[in-house]
Amino acid sequence: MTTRKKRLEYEDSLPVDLISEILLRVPVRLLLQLRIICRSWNSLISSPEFAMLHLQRSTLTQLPPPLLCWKEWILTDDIMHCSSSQSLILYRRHQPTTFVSYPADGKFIRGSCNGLLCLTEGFFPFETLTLLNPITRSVSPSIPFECSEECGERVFCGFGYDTLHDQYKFVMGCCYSSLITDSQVRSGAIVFTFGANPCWKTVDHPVFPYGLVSSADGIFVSGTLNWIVYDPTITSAIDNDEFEWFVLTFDLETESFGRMCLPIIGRRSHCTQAPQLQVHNNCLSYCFHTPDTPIIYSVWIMKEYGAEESWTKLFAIPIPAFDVGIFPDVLIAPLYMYIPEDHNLLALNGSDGRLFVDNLRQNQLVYHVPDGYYWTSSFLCHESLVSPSHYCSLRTIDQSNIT
Amino acid sequence: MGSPVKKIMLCSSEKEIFSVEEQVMVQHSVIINNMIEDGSYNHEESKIPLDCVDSKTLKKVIDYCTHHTHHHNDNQEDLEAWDAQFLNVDSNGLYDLLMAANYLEIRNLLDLIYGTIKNMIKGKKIDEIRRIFNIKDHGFTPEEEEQNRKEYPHFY
Repeated sequence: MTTRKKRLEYEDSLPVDLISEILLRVPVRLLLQLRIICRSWNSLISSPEFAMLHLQRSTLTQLPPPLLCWKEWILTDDIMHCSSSQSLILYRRHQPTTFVSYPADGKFIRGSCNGLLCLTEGFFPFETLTLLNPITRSVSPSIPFECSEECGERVFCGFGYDTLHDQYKFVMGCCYSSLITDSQVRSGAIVFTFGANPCWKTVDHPVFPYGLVSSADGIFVSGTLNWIVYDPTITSAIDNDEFEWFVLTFDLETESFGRMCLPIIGRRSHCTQAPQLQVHNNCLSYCFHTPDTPIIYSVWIMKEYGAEESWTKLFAIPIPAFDVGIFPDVLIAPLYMYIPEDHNLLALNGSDGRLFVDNLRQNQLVYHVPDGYYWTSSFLCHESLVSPSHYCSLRTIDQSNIT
Repeated sequence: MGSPVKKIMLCSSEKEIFSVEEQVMVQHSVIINNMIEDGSYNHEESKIPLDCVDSKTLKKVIDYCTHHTHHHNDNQEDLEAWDAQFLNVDSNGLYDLLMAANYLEIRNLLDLIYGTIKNMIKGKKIDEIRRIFNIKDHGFTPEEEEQNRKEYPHFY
């Protein structure tokens, strides 16, 4: 008994590497709270190294449901909202709870990666770039966007992470061929690297420009950005209105463009409507519906990124099942699939800008998220401790946010 | 029966000797596996000294490795139930096990303990967590502590 008592009194707390191992398993929101346990936990949890390890660990294991972040396209509303996608699916008929709102002063979300949102100021030309971590509520300084106009007026852009160099990058390029005749406009893309020495760089692509098929905001997955595009100079032999759609990829490590095929069934413009890329379970996913009745809505995933033969159909359901008043050429953007428990899908109906939840197993509409939200631009954002300021050189600003 | 099972000797901090099937420890402990592989353990005379592991903890560690060697084909539910029962100890016992598993590099036992301690944190108030981790001095100034209290009132 005496030894036990003595140990209770004098025993040191656990070594920091073991504490770190335990805390790496704790979800982000609880970790933020655990910063106030003691000073050494605070330094551990706030360190960029821990943020990185935590991110790697949570990507390897099953990701917790992401946040749904959106900014309404109304200039009078300058608040950016973030809500839990899980609560939208699980707590039916509830208003989305905006648990983080951030004064966005004319800023818009352009991309999401590793728990960071990339914001641009203004529609176009962009004046500044800012990084925001909605869960830690820390924000980087705004960086002036120098060569925004060199991409012409119709642009595609994307935001992603370069694992090799531990850097975040913003990519912007020109789409649509007509604009390329303007001598002011570059024929490649501009890559901006966030960091202590922010740099702008032009990356050429021999066969630019492509026409953009879906969203101008690239999807980040496996160290790459992805857009659905077509080459306007190549038409089908039968019909010169028909194009083949494919994925334009940008590798953030090598800063080079590439292309990938879509599944055969969904790559001809005449047979496919409203194509969209998304990420599901760390895989690139592709969704579209057929143009003619019966309208079939399909989602495919690329199980192994870059391996075209790994495109696998996740599901295909007839559209009347949605029962949400969808017109044939209108976009349905699946946002989040909560497969493990109830096979529910959270999606955005492009025809009325409303969110709805559909049950994939029973093929029926579960409910509409109540009116009043027109989320034409929403992004999924995973919870992380990644510090925006750490990647924008000014580390001192971050301190004030964390304590 | 076939050839006799190869055994190795482990020595606790109280100098108590435990004789264990070699295969059991080799399968679970990276350290012991390395010792056997590089030939630094002599079956005739070596004992592996574990100066920072007491007899009670060492016995538990051996129990864990033995059970997981002989029952690895059991269904997941049974194994999980056994693990839960195995880790039903007070926090001192748990820390001793953690230190021992860390020293011997028993990865699946480490994962099990980390997960258990993680679950102990969930839903607890700040004072309880400080007690679990034996944190006596949080190191914040009274002003900072006041600020923390304002920011997370429900955590206190």
